[in-house]
Order: sequence, then structure tokens, then C-alpha cells
Amino acid sequence: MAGPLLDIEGLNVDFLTDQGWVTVVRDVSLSVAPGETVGLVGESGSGKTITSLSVMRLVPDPPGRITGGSIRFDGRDLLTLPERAMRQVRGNDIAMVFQESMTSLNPAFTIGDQIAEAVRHHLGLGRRAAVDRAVEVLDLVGIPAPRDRVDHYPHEFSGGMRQRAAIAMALACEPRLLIADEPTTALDVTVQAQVLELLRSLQQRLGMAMLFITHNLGVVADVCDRVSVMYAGQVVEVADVVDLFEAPAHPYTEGLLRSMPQLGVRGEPLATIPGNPPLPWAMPEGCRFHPRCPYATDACRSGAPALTERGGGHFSRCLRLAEIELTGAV
Amino acid sequence: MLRFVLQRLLATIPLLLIVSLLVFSLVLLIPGDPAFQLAGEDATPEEVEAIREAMGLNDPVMVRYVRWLGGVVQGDLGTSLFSDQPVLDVLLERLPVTLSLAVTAILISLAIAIPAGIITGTRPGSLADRVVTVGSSVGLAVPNFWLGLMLVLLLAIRHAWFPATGYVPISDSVSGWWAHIVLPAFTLGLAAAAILTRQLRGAMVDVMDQDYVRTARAKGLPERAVTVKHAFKNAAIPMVTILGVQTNSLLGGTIIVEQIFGMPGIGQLAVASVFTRDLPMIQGVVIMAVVVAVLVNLLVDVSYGYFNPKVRPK
Repeated sequence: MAGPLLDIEGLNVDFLTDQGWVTVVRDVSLSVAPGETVGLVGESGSGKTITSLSVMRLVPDPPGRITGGSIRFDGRDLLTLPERAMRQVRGNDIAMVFQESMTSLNPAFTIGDQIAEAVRHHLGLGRRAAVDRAVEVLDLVGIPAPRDRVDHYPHEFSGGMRQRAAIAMALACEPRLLIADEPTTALDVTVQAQVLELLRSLQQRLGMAMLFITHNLGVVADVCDRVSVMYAGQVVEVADVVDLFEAPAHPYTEGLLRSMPQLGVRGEPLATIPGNPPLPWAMPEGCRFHPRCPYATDACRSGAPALTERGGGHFSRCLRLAEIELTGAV
Repeated sequence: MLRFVLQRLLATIPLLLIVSLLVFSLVLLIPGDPAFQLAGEDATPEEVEAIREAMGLNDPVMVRYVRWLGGVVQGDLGTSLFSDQPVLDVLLERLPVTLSLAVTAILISLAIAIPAGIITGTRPGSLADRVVTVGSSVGLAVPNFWLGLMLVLLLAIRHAWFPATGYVPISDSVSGWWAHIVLPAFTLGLAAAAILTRQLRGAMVDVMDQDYVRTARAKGLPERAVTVKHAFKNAAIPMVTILGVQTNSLLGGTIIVEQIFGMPGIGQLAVASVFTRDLPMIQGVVIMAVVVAVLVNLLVDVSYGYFNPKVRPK
């Protein structure tokens, strides 16, 4: 393999808040190989969306600012590209699907118009050819009667159909990397399953890589090859998906796995991780997870652990990695 | 779409009926007796009575209303009490003056408000934003009679760049028309420009935070396409509402502006008719104003459909 398609190294993102500048993403490293699906998992506020927006250089500025690190895509550092060149990457090489299909499509333009726009811009197609392409991708994502549907407005689509249309829009220019930011969270469960299945099959058919952002480990198990777990702005564990579920190497991951509902286990309340994630301007000293960690010792309160490899591409940010025995889900 | 327009026009009939009742009651409410006015100061009571009889002023109110309304719907707005010309002819002769003044004023206000609103709405807190905000406060605060007089003093009298008063129809000379219309139209449109700028700025600030703006950026569109295409079309919806309201109040403003610039439009006619108690003419002016207002509102409703497909009739 010729190295990763996307390679994030030591990314830092700061935000200006009422409390001054705070670092919301600290030293995040992440890579996605061509054709690979990597899950980025974490609670709300863990920095996963900001990380993905950084790849597109769409972190709202102000108040956000990328203050360090590099994001290499196919060897080029996206953070140093001029804006004009970056626009050629957005939507063309890297495309994004957002969580809220209701609000992420423009209500004032037809679905076809919104797809054709990207195609005309990047591929230089004429109006008619761009609309044909729009029909083609709508068909690809399983929208019935795409020839009629291109002229419809977002409000005339159901939630699931809108998300399919948003996926079609992202795929229209055949990107090499698709970033899907909680693409199924706003959908109801049966539609979620359909959209996931669609993404998985498209990813295989088109051979594109995917960075899949979610807070739902069940979804991760379904679609991902590798997983990065984020907590409080840091990556705390990186592992192959099977490894992660069988042998988690970070207490936070163990907590997440335990709090997943499981079939066949009845009558017991779901396990939870006690406490709340820390606020970005009040990060605990030492390991950021220690106030909620059942295994924390005094060492955890003072020493900040580094992301270290346990072996076989399995990384964890835990001081007691070698001492504790964690249980997986399988 | 045609059906929608027809429905809307039908829906205005009750409104027009109410307005016609109000307009007709003007005759009853305004002090003074037109028969006295017509007969002259030396007339005997018998002569006045004869005129009153001839004008049908002695008939019951309802009879007079129905008779008057019957004429109105057939385009007969009566005859001017003073010039003896049909009211409708006088109105149609003067309407182009007022319409070209009002339309130019609206276009000028949009030409100011759209760029100013987009620029400030996409850069809130910037220097440009602060300058425009102060400017729009001034534009709102300046009364148009004062602004008109100052423009005449400075640009027409001192520098003689523009004629001070008068009007040239566009059919006679486009450049002459423009020279005569630009100062009054600017005077009339400035307040609307200020209000529209503020409205658009607020809407743009709001819209620029929407997810679909982020989506447009994620597609790799240039910032100009993101703001002018994706954001503006959504931000224009509240502006169109305000534009309708502004258009109506701007038509009211023509009364003052036409006086200042000596333009022979409806506004000037309205003032003159009030001074001469020319009731049929006043009624005609009011009816015309209402019809124009109804048409403007209809236009606003129709244009909603363009900006906001959700309200488009199926």
C-alpha cells in the first residue's frame, strides 16, 4: 500500500470562548488508507466533528482556529494549501455528508440543482450533462423515479430520502474520501439501517475511503475497518474494529462498550460511565479521563499519558495499559 | 400559478368593497357641501337646492353609494368638480409620473440595500458593517422633505447638475427623464434603502450560520456563490415582506416628494384636490392608491413562491 490517503498529524484546534482561547482538539492523529473505512467515535463535544471539519478546512473562523499539526491528503498538506486550491479539494477529492439532512440541504433550490452545481463546478460539465449526472447519482443511492425527483425541493423528500440525496450530492464528483458526520443519527432506526447499508455498498462499489463519525458503537461494528476513539479532544484509542470490540485497551472504550444495549440481556439496567465529560476550559490534570475512570490511581491524576502502541496497530492513551485487564463486548 | 393569482385577486374583492364604503363615506364625513362650493358665494338657497337635486345629493345614502359604486366598477370615477374632466382620465395622465418615481425609488433602494446587506451580513462587526449601520441610521432619521430640499439646493441650484423641478416623460427623452427623476427617486428611496439594508443584514447573519451554507462550502463552491446564490435567496424572503410594506409607504411619500420637486403626479394631484375640496378626485386618488397597494401585495405574494418553494402553490 502506498501510504495513507488521509494522514492527520498532531492536529490542534482552538476556539475563542467566554473563557478565552481553549483547545478543543489536542494533538489528534488519524489516518485513513485508500478504500478503508475508519470510524471516529466519541461523545458530543469530544472534538470529532471539529476534527472532520478541519480536514475540509471548514472550522468556523471565528471563533475556531487550527493552531497546529498537518493534514496530508494524498501527500499534500491541506492546511497550507491556498484557499483556491482547497476549494478544488472540497466536494471533488473529499466530500462530506452531514448529520441533519433537514437543514443541510438548501430549501430554496431543487435537489437536482444542488447536485448539478457541484458537478458543473468541479467537472466542468454543461447544464444538461450535469443534470443527467444528478439523475445518475440519485439512481445510484436508490431514489425511485430519479428523473422526476431531480426537480423536487428538499421539503418534498422524506428524511431518509433527503439523506440519500445528500449522499448522492457528496458522491456526484466521485470523491476519493467521504467524510460522513453522524449521517444516520437523525433518522429513525429502520431508515438508519438502510442508509448504513447504502453507504457500505457504495463504499465497496466505488472503492472510496470513508471517515465515519458517530457516537454509536453499533454503527461502527457495522461499517468500519478501523476505529479511533476520541475523548475530551484527544484520541484515546486506535484499533482494528474486531480488536476494539474484543479487547479494548482504554477504560473509556470499555465503558462505551458496556453501555451498549445488548440483545438477550434482560432485566438489568444499562451500565453508564459515571460523571460528565470535562468542559474544554476545565480539563483535568493528568489523564483527561481519570475523574471518571474506575481504574484511576494517583499516577493518573498527575501524569498525562501518551498514545502508545500495545502491538498490532492497537494504540491506547492509558498509563495503566499494561496493568489492567479490560473486558470487551464479544 | 395563474390560478393562484386569480384566487388572490378574487380574495381582494371583499377588501375593495370595504374600501369603497370608506371612500364613499368621505363625502359624508368631510365638512362643507359640494353644492355650495359649486354654486358659488352669491347663490340663492334655491339654486343650491337645484344643484343638490341635480347631483343626486338628496337621495338616500345607500342609493347614492350603489349608484357611485356602479359607476366605479365601470371605470366611471365621476367628473372633477373644478376642471370638469373625467377623474379617471386625469388619474391615468398622472399615474406614469408617480409610478416611474416610485419604481425608480424602489430600484435605487434595492441597488443600495442588496450589496450593503450582503456585505455587512457576511462580515458582522467589520468596519464596513459599522459604517453601513451608522449610514442606515442616518438614512432612517433624515426626513425626506429635508433631504429633498438639500439635494435641490446643493445639486440643482448651486451646482446645476440636475434640474430642480419638473418632469419629462420617458417617451420624450430617456436622458431628460433620468435627469428629472434621479433626485426625487433618491429622496424617496433612501429611507426604504436603510430599512431594507438592516433587514437583509440581519437575515444574512442568520442564514450564514445555517447548515446548508456549510454544505455549499463543503461542495467547494467559491464564497461568492455561497453568499450570493445560497445564502441570499433564503435571506431575501423576509426582505421581500418588508419591501411590500415599504412600497406602500413609499407611495405615500410621493405626496411630499412630488410637491418638493414640482412633479405633476398623483401625489401633487391629491394635495391640490384636498385644497379645492374636489371630492370625486380625492375618491379617485384613494381608490387608485388602494388598487396599487393590493397589486403590490399580490406581487410580493407571488415573488414569495420564487424565493421560498415551500409556499409555492401546488
